[in-house]
Amino acid sequence: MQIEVNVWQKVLGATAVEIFPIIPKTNCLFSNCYIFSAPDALLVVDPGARPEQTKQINQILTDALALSQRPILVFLTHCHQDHSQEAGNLELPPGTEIKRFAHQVGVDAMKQGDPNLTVAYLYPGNPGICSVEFEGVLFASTPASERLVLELANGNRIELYNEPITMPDGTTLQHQWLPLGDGNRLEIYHTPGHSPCSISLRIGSLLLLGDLPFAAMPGVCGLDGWNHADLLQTLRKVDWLLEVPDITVCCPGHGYCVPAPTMREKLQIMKAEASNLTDVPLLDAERVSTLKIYVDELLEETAALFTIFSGRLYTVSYYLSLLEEENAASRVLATLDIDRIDAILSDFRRIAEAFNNNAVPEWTVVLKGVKVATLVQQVLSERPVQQLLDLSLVDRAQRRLADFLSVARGLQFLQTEQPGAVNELIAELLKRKKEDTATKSTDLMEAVDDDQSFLQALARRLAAHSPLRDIEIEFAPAAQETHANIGAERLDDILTNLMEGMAGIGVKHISIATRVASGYVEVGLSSRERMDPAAFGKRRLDLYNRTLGWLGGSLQCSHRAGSAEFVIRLPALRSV
Amino acid sequence: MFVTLFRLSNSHNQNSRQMKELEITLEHLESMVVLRAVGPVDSNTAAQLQEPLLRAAEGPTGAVELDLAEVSYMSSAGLRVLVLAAKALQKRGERLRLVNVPLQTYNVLNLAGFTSFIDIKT
Repeated sequence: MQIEVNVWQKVLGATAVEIFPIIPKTNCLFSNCYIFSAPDALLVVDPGARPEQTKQINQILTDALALSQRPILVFLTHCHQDHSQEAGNLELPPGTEIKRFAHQVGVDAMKQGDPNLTVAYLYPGNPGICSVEFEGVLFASTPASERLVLELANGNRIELYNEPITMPDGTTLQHQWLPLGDGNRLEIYHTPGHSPCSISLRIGSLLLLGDLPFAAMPGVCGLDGWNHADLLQTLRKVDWLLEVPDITVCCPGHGYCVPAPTMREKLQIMKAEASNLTDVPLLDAERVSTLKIYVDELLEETAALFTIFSGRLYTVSYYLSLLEEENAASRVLATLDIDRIDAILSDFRRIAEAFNNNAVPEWTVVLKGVKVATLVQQVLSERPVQQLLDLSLVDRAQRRLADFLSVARGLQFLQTEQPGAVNELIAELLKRKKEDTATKSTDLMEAVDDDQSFLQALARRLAAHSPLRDIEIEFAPAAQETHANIGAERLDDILTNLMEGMAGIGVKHISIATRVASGYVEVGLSSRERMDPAAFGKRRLDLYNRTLGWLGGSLQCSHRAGSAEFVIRLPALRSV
Repeated sequence: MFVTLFRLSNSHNQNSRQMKELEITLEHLESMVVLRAVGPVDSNTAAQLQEPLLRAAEGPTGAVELDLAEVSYMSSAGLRVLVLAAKALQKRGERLRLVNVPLQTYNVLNLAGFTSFIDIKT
């Protein structure tokens, strides 16, 4: 069954039940809303947080009520602001009866105006927390055999049955259900993790999962009420539910509905990712602000690196065109989906600007940054890109993106390499750079007998042209021991980025010197030529400083006689 | 000296300024066309630069100079436009001239290899 947006359609596996999905462009400000028409009731799942959407819901319900008068049952998959804010704002014809349902924890949070559990703290301007009465308290802490009965004005009743399910492993899946007429049932499962009040709903072949599919996402995990153990339990239980072939489609709280096997696979991947998410710190307002600054820095760096990548491809295409190799030039440009990535990065830049004008919340910028970082990471992992572009540059970009996604998930920054002696790491790095250049020349010579291979080798050579190739680099190592808390890759990342940046502004001679002082190993980077640090971009330098900060070090820039010296400071270690 | 001046962008009202759109000014000198860009050149705005720059580059004679002093940001979409113009000029033996290039943009253009086929001055 394929679910279409903004249209009534039959729900398979149910009798005379239809669904009308409202699925706005994915964002964290307002959720999807699913409306169901059943013989005995109209259901609204997650009204959302957008007044325009509420107007649409009102119209759809009013039209459905004109065909058959029924009570309206509003359900929240959880109490987060983007799902719940408009729950009290439905305006329906006089005499229409509305009953609202949510998990007890969510009902209590909204009643108390709790900005944390409702995550209202992430939205600036104190958005109103839904204060309307919820008559239907789900999974209330009452005896399991008790059943909730809601009396309607016309004398009818809505009965909510409690039927916990014993899982094959002996654990319990909390489950309730209520009849919708003609033998149809709304099944309700308690699925905490994203929030303690998270529930999933099933009607016929559809399973509505709320925000469970996003619960392990960077920038989402760690929200107030997020719980690692609950999430892992829930993922196991939902996986068990999805074993039943009767469920064919899963509907998330944001974005499009997907076939159940696809969702099951996604949740299994997510479970593997989530298993590492122990000790995730609270994603409070302060952490969101820090991530916002970090994402600004990262995207500045990513945009700069991506522009260099794509610029090199344009350079290659230019020279291939001069050689009248238009097909080869086009193939080179097709290696990287330049226009798409550029549009995404430009879009991000605009969202960041909109934040500066107070038009969007900080959290939106962070989530957008996560989306962009994930996408660029995928693009850079593709084989043709790796074959053509400077691998060192690609690797450096990949490590920056991975660091960010990890930190956005609340994981500690990991030093995955063995720390080493800085003198040796630098000597090794400079040696490797010389060898890279030599290998590329050999590639070209070997391919000379075959037209296609030659063109590919030429393109590779042009694209991978190292800006350090013509730079004279002097290295003055300190006489003392230089063991410090940094591995080869991290040092390469920062040192090479700085040296390439220096080469980019026309520096021809770079001096590297190591010093040991006051428990730190310092790496000084300077030039005989005039050098303006502004050319590197403040945010990019801040990003390097942030990375070094995680290692207990820093990046400083000192100005001397019209020029500048970058100083990388690293905590000294005793050699092993 | 023959000089004509055109403002090519229609985005000089207050709203579009808030959106930081691109403005291009075109100046026809006797033996050169000078374009001045103001604003970011990204995937949303590159087309505004492409049209006048290519028209100048594909013209029969004269040098083409692009002043980037007021360009706050240039993404790969902007680089693509520069390459198209450079190719068009190369056909008649000219090189595109970029002047007043901000340092950060110069850095990227240089690292991308553009200094080998475009004259670039900061």
